[in-house]
Amino acid sequence: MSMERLSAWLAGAWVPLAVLVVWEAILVLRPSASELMARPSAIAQNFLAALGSDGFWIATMQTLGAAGWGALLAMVLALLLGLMIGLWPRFETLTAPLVGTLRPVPAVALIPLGILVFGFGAAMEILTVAFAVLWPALAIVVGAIRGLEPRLHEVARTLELSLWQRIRWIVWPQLVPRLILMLRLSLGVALVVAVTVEIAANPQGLGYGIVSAQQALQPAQAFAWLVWLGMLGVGINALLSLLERRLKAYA
Amino acid sequence: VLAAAFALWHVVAQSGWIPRLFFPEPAAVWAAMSAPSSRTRLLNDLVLTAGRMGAGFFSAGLLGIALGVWIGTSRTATRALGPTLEFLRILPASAVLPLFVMGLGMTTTMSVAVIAFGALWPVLLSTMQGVRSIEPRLIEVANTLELNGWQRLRWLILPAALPDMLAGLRVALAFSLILAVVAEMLTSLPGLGLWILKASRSFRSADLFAGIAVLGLMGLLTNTVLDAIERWARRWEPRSAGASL
Repeated sequence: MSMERLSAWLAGAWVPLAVLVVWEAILVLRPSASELMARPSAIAQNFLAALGSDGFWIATMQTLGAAGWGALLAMVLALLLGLMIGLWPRFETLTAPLVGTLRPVPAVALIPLGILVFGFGAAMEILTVAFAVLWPALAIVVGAIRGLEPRLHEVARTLELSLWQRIRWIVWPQLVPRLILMLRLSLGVALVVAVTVEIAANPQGLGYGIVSAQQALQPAQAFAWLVWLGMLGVGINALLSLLERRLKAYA
Repeated sequence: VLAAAFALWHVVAQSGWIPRLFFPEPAAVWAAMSAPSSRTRLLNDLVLTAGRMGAGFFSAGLLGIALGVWIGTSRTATRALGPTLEFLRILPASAVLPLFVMGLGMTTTMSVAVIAFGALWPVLLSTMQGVRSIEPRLIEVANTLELNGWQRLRWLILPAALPDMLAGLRVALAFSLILAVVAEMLTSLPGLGLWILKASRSFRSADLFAGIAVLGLMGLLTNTVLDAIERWARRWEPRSAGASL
């Protein structure tokens, strides 16, 4: 690490460190608040203990699984619908009012419907995640196709390319660089929605873990799992940035 | 087309391919929305949800823009707070909900605080971004003109950061509605979120669809209002031809 980066890191680190120290000090001096708040040291202890427990890893896999499958489902659907909307004007006029009606519905409003139809569990969570991810993913696909140089379409017509050839040789090369953006955005949204579904209703995963810790008046555990969620978010983001750089290097 | 979709919905619901229990006819949903007794209750819940959402959103908007301008214009503050803010932004706002419940109880204050907390980050970070990406030459012009702090804010910083601020506010608005609904579901605060949850638990699917429809309309309406504000605030800019979905 160069000196410059070290100093930047220190500049960014002293504020959270100071907050943690003050937080710890306040709770040491006033232990009566400990039913509602946990000391940072207790949170850290709880976190380390959680790393060794099965329930913690099962919850993590449940959350990541629902987010991942939901995002995948939405991205495949967005790709199919996006290609149809982008390449087939009549399909667009046909679906525009439906998209306009469904898109503003907040995904969380579908949680009770999901419970009614599928009961609690993974299916309902995956579908809610997919509904939430679909719209931003669709916007990216359609945006990529709309962003095509109009002459390319003329070229395609002149060459009398079939629909499949148009997709393969004209649309696809434009789409690939956007796919990584779509993946990043989709997974970000998916993780948030999955946790939200678990907080609001679904008794599984990390979100439910936080709720049940709160209901059991275990603030240290609630904070520890929250910190883990943040770390997962940062980790996924870092992984995707790495992937993006790798792919850019090939392109 | 929408009429055709409604007709299809009606036919499918009538045919019973999908159990009626889950899937009411459009007429039943309309009845659930417009019958006098349920209409009053639905409107009542709508006002409760929208009130919390609005209160949280506005506090987040004001605080986010103020903090964003402050942090964005100060290099020291950016260096000191940037990494912390990035981490806090990644936390799903709904996940802090249980912690707020521990501190503030199952109250309206709690709900507004969570909404404000969740909606703060997109506004704050995009305002910071907008302030930091101001064309350096404009800053030189401001220096040459010897603008004071207030003039600088009014004529340079706010207009230049406006597009980013509006983008952040748009995300914040969506978050606000989501958090308002989730808070109601988790803590049984009266509102549309509780309305749909109760309807689902008692298998009243027409009421459930009515609640979802009202929430969708809320999303649509708030977005339209924000679109209008955006057009008004950016009215001097040349029209861009970029089409979006």
